[in-house]
Amino acid sequence: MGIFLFFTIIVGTIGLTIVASRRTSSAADFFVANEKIGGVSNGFAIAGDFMSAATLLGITAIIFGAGYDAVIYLGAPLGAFSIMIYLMTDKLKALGKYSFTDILCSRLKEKPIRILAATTTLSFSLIYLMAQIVGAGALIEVLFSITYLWAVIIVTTLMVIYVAIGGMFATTWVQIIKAILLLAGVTALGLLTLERFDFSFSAMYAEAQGNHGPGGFLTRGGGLDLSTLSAVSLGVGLCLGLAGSPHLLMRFFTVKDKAAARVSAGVALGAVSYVNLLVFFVIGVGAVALVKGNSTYLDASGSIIGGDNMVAVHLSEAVGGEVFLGIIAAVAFATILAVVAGLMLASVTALTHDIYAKVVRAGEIDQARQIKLSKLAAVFLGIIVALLSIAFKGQNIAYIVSLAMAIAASTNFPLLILSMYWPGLTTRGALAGGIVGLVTAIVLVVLGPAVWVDVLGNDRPIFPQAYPALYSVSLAFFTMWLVSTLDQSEQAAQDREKFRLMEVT
Amino acid sequence: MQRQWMYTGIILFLFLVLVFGVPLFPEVMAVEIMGPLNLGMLTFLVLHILTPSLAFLYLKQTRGEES
Repeated sequence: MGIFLFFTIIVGTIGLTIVASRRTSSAADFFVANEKIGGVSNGFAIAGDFMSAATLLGITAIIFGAGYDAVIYLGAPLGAFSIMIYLMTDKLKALGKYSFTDILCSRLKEKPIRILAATTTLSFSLIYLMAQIVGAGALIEVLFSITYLWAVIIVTTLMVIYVAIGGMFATTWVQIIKAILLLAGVTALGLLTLERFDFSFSAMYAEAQGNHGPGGFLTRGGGLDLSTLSAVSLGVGLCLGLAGSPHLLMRFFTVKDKAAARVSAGVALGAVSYVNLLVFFVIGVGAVALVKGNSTYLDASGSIIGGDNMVAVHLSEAVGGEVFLGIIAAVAFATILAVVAGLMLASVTALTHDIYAKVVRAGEIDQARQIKLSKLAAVFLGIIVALLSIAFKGQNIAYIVSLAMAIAASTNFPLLILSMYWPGLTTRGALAGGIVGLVTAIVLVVLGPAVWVDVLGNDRPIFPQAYPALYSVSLAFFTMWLVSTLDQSEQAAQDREKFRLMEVT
Repeated sequence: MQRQWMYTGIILFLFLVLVFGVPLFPEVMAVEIMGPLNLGMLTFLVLHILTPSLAFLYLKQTRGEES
């Protein structure tokens, strides 16, 4: 069943991509679907773009192992989407065309800012893509008994096909299908799980509490053993990192006006809230009650077969048998495809629109050539990501994800929010703060326990925190404020004047 | 502009209560409210109901103002 659905998804999405390619004739079609996506459809696409395999599989695994502390991971996207809907969508739609960099350039000096923003976008997207594909490779290996190498080749090839042939239309359709499959999948999984306990939450929680082990961490904090600074840093990194994620921000350019952009964010928020509630209150707890300690799902060493990330999949078999297992495995596969396609399109936009078309050619490029180059860029980036994913096989992807989020939170978010709301921001301040945020995020992750100890094998980390965002975000904001305040150049005066004009329009 | 900042503030405040509750006051968040539901889980539930509700209220308000 799983393999049948696996191939159905591949054939179905390639068919959609071919249809989408017939609608893609201009650069606007390729990058932003020529603003033809409806608000509700775009909302589902944003939800599909955001909810990676981590949402269903990763968060269920965290609840399974650490319990209640998963609230930080689940609450962060709500904060991020609230920032987007209330503070960003109107300005994104009013000032941007293809990428969030357009907003920065509406008031700051174009060339250096585009290079900086494209660098941070590419850094975030490629690192996050690699994390997704490393995780996907391992997951597909277990779900469909396909080797890691072939899993990476299949996922990256499909990702390149969606983006290179179908552009934003194909990417959007894949994301909508994935969102609907995921919503249906978690609903069915939640209902079947509750049905096992005669729809009694008390009975399910009583069973799970007994299985979860000492400490009662299923329903109280402490399972992840986070210090106050670590918890805040993790929460800040996830929340602001998501709010500064280029693949999510670019989706707001695919609708026709501000009202549709707001509807998009609202629908995405509703879908994410619904999935979060089911995962936290039912699926995670159900997995503890039905999978933990169940010898069917343990290997010879007593560990969960395939690792903790597989507990949601094991739960689907426990409550729905092999057919339902195949369905949930296929949903997980579709989930991976939709997220990597969005990330790849953001990378291609940064490379061909922000860097090549706007910086190298100063806007003097015909649309056919830009689309052709974008397709080549998708193939080129796909090969790089595939090679990196093969090289990083078996690595702990948690630190790769935390690095990507720290970069987005420390660079894109401060740049975007200050350029939208602070009249004093200057080009020099934005450049200095962006570079400081980027470098600090990378250096602190490398010097922290996730890389310095776990990967490089040293005894103690130089920087003691696993999550650097609190420090790198604060430093980025402070540097932007300090340098901008001290900047008395002619360019600074122009930057401030442009903000005033931007506010008037 | 006031309204957007207020709505954002409410949601971020609830999120921060959850974040700080994990390391700083786990015992308070573990106070039972009803059945298996404790204060921390209730806060999580309220956050997930209030966030989309406020968003749709905001959509309704802006649509009314623009038309």
